[in-house]
Amino acid sequence: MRSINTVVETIDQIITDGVKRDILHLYTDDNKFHDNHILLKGQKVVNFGSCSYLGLEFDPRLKEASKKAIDNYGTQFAESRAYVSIGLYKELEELFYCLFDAPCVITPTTTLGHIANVPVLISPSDAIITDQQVHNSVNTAVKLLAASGTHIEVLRHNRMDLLEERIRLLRNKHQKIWYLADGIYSMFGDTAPLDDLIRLLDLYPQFHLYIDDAHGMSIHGKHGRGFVLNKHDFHPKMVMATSLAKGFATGGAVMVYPNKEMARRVRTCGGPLITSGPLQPAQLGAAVAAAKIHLTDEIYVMQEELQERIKFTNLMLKKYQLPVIAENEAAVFFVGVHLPKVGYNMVRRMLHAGYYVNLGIFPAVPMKNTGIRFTITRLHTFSQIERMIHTMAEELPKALKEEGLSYEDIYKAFKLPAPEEQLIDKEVASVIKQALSLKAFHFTTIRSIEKEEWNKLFDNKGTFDWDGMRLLEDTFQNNELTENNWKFDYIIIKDVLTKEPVVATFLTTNLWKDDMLSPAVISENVEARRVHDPYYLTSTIISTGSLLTEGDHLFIDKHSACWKEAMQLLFDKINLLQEKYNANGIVLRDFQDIDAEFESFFIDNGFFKTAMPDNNIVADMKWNNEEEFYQHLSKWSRAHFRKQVKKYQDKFDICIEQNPTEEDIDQWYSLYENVKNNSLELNTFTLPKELFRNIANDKSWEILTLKLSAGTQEPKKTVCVVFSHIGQLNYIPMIIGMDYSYNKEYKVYRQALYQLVMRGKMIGKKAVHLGFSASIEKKKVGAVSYPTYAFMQIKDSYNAEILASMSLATGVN
Amino acid sequence: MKLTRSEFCQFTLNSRLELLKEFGKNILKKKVQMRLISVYTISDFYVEVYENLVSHKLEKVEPVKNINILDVYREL
Repeated sequence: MRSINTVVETIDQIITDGVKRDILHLYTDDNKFHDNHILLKGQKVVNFGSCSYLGLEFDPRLKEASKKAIDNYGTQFAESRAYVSIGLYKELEELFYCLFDAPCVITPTTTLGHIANVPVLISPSDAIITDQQVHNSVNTAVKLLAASGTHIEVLRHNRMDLLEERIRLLRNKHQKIWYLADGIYSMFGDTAPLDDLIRLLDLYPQFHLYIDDAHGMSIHGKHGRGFVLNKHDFHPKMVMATSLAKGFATGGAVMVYPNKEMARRVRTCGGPLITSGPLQPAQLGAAVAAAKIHLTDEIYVMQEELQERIKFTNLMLKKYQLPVIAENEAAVFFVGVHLPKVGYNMVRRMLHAGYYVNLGIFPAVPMKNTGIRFTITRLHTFSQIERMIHTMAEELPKALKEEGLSYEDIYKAFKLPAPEEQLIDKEVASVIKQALSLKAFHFTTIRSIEKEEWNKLFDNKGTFDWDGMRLLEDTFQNNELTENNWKFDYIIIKDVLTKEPVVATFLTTNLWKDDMLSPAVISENVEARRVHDPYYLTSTIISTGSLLTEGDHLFIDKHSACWKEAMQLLFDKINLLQEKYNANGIVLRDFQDIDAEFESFFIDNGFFKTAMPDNNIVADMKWNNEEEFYQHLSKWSRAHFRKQVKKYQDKFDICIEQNPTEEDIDQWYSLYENVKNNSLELNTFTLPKELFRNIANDKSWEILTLKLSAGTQEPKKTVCVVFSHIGQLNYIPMIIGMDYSYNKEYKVYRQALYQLVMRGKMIGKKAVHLGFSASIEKKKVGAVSYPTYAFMQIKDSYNAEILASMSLATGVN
Repeated sequence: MKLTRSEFCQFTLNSRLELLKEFGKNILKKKVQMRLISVYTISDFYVEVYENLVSHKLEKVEPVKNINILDVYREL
């Protein structure tokens, strides 16, 4: 597989799109700030994106202290804290000791605080469990431990029942079990279940809690200690990290420990505290002033003023019936809008109306859970809040209509109950959609579609012409094992006027192994778990094409003026099917040569791009015999051919099998199982034997075998079998079986590839499709590798995150 | 924006006064002994506000049920 980082590519695409639309990477135009207004692109807007919740950034005492610190110490003190810190640090540490009533270490940022803490506090013999939604900065620090072999796993968000289960299981194997979570989660503003966590801390001696309370600092608790310490006293098995760059209004971070020894060790051994720069005088001066305010009763007045605004915001969100994700105690709110395109649309509309709000988008949230994230500060007036929410409530239906979506789509995406009033909107929306000049036809069997019509669309595109689909339907229905029962759906969207198809595809819904494309070493680990739990890390997926077909599964007439509308209609149909079959993911696959417009279209609709294994095709068949084929090869491939193929050619007899017996099929199936069990790079469920019987009786397929010739150790022994589809133009080998005991001696696999190319030529085909994986081997027989991509949507990314944590633990990408 | 009486009463006295100033309409202001008494309308109800002129503290910001409230104060 290509070493392409498609996650980075997707992030790049999404953020760049946002930059182009003037809603991300913005700069303020103001020369001076006076209040919560900022000037963006020449327009004065109310800032609903600030995390300075108490508005202390404008407090004259902080500003004065900052100026004074610069006057006294200059703009910076450029020495590592391992050597010397300026005196303000000492004063601030003492103030924090009073504020938290616990030992503290100050770090330049919360991220650097985690990087200082995690490798010092957590040993390789401990286990780490991270909450699925813990802040990315915590995960950054956890990655540093992966190389040392620390056990790392991900827990479904806030699931305390599962956490207790894992503690019980891990407590005999690990000295300590650390759970890493946020006090207040930065996107949805929901909170950690602290009562349960404290109960677990009390109950299990091995259990320890590492909690990031960045968004709770200052706005809750005695002296503004934060959300976590407002709910419970400091637990002796808890470490807390919190930010000074939000409610505290100065920059920097503070790490709080249950004892002095722990604080000393981090201060002494934490990487960033040895080699990184310190907080600078301006920030330290302001921090001392802010800490002093926190130690007076004034902080409670400020907290109350903010809490009143939070209460008012919750009330307004309810009144205006916005799809808010969680009613919050925090000052962070998230209104779901479902797809990125609605998010872009809404942020733009809000900016035009005079309100700056954040776009909550991938990778911070899943693609289909895009939303408008906004924050409330003490500086907002009630009327600013009311007008902003009122505007949002007015603009959201317009944005949804413009993007062809409804409130119901949002409620479904976030699994929220929809108010009745808004369901009526959906009915109206669907009437509008039907009025378009497109009509969708949906079938659940190929037998309901005219053979000629289907083949006109998909002949020569792969093994999924009309007969190919009939064979799949006959094989993958009414079987005993869940994984061998597939749902088939065929969708053709036609232009009502021309009656011609604009978009067409077929979809299969079945169980996939989540590690299908993971590195083999990961699949090995997963397969070990599957011995006892066969469906561990498996998901129902709805996909264009099937696990047994390769090629261009999606017909799009891009000459049609309404291809995008037709695709939109297809997405609607697929979403309905996903709901009907309760599928966790949608995969639209086998795309090559994707242009920017096409890619943007998919990303706007909540899909992310991922690399599939390269597809290998021998398309240059302009040779007539073995010698000409040899001359067609590159110099390097010729050498390979001489040494690895030609040399062993006389060791094999090549046969095209006719009328096989049940015994033959048993033998070939066993050869297939050898390959299947040896191919964890593309880890799928084992195909049923029924498929091999059906292929043997189908005229569109042929079975080529390689038998050892006379003069070898076991003459006539079948050492390789290949099942190939014969298309009108193409020869498509789909399934291979091999006896590996002869592969080293006679290079069976390489011989098979060569013989397949020869066979394709012999029966007059224009190309031989050698399929995914083993690109290097396939190139040696003249194949060209085509980068292939899929677009995916995942409802629940928990299994993917477990696999990512396994990758971390095994050190593979 | 319409706040109900019970929603209005969820807020502190200071916030209630802010809400009145931002969303309500002042319809009466009268100095009675050491207090400044104001009456506002907000949404569909009246609110009485007592501010102590000596201590500068808010003493009362409460919705009133008596619809003849204005007459009561005019008579004072």
